[in-house]
Amino acid sequence: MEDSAIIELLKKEPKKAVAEILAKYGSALLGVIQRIVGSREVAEDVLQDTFVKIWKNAASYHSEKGSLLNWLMSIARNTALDLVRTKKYQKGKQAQPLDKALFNTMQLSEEMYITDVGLLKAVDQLDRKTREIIYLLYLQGCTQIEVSKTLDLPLGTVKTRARQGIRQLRVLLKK
Amino acid sequence: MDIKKYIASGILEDYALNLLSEEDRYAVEQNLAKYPEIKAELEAIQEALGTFVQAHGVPVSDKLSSDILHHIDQLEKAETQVENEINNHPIRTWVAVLLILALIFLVYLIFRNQRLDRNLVFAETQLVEQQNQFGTLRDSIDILLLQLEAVREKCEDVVLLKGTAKAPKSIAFINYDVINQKTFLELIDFPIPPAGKQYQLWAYVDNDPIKIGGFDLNSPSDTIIEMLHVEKVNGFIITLEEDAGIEQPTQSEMYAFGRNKKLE
Repeated sequence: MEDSAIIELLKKEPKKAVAEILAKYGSALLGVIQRIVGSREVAEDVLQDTFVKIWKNAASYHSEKGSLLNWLMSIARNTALDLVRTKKYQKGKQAQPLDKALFNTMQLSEEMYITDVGLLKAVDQLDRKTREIIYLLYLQGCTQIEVSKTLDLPLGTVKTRARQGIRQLRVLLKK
Repeated sequence: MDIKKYIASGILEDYALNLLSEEDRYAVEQNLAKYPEIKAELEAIQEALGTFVQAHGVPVSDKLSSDILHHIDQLEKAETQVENEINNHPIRTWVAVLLILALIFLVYLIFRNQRLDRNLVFAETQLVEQQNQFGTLRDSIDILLLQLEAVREKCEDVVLLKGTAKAPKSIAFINYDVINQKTFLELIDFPIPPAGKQYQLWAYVDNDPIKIGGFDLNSPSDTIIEMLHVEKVNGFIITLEEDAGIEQPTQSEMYAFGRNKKLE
């Protein structure tokens, strides 16, 4: 189903819209969540909470404020980060600092579960560092400073490589 | 605006990656609304990022999908049930009845208040009118008292004439100045004489009445009037007589009388 149809459905029948979103973007959102919380089991619980929030806040989405996927990702990211920041979770992880946790989860970014061969080829052609930058900025919602510290890169370089990466990705996807 | 240059600046990539300040984001959103080329470019960027996200997805099992949808279904049912219970609870009926009663009471209070307001305005208007009348009356009395004071300063002897049964509220003062040989008549609250009649002041000298002047009270200046001065007056009376006047007072038409106590 097209995003525009899902958006219409969000206003009229939120429960049906949630089912469509789960089918279309469920794996993308689970990917984002799992890389933040680290565990598959916890990630599945967070995904459930994320979809409850999507269902409850269906009426608050406005397309002028950004794409549907952006909105969904921000809900998923925030739900996962809220959990990671709780004392209980930090205790379980032996008070691991957040930037360290982000860095560790970077290892998971190497895994890709793509069934579309063309898509796999396109994303795979991006160099590893650029992929990491876009990954941290866009998927994990890190700030430019956090990315700069995590990857030990100057601030300006983070921004320049992110821009270049997106342009490169667009060219690769067109091929 | 050079759109190509704006797109090449990389600001749209920064927007998509949420790297802009609030102010810069707002400026981009303004341009998105204005220029379709910029909007199309941002959509292409977001599509590429979407692909990137999909590429890093983790498959959702059928069981997990089913659990999530089932959980939402249960939540919806629970919410509907709570809503129905709230809507159908007997306390709602009582609350509704109480609200209606409160509303009726409120309407009654509003009407009552409006009526009291009207009465208050009427009473205030009446009070103002009475205060004005009282003020006018007070002014008149003050003028009279001043006139009286002026006359009294000039005269040493004052003869008080009390009203008879015909005019019990009326009073007259005769300022009988034997030194300057002046007689002033001061009238208080005498009835206006009917047409064709006028008051006459009589002076008694050795029990004989002498007519010393007439007055009809048709103008305010008639309240203090200079009269003919007669010496050795024992007393004064005021009668109501025909205009032409007569030589003897009509005793049955006497309105006020008083003795000159200095000669008693």
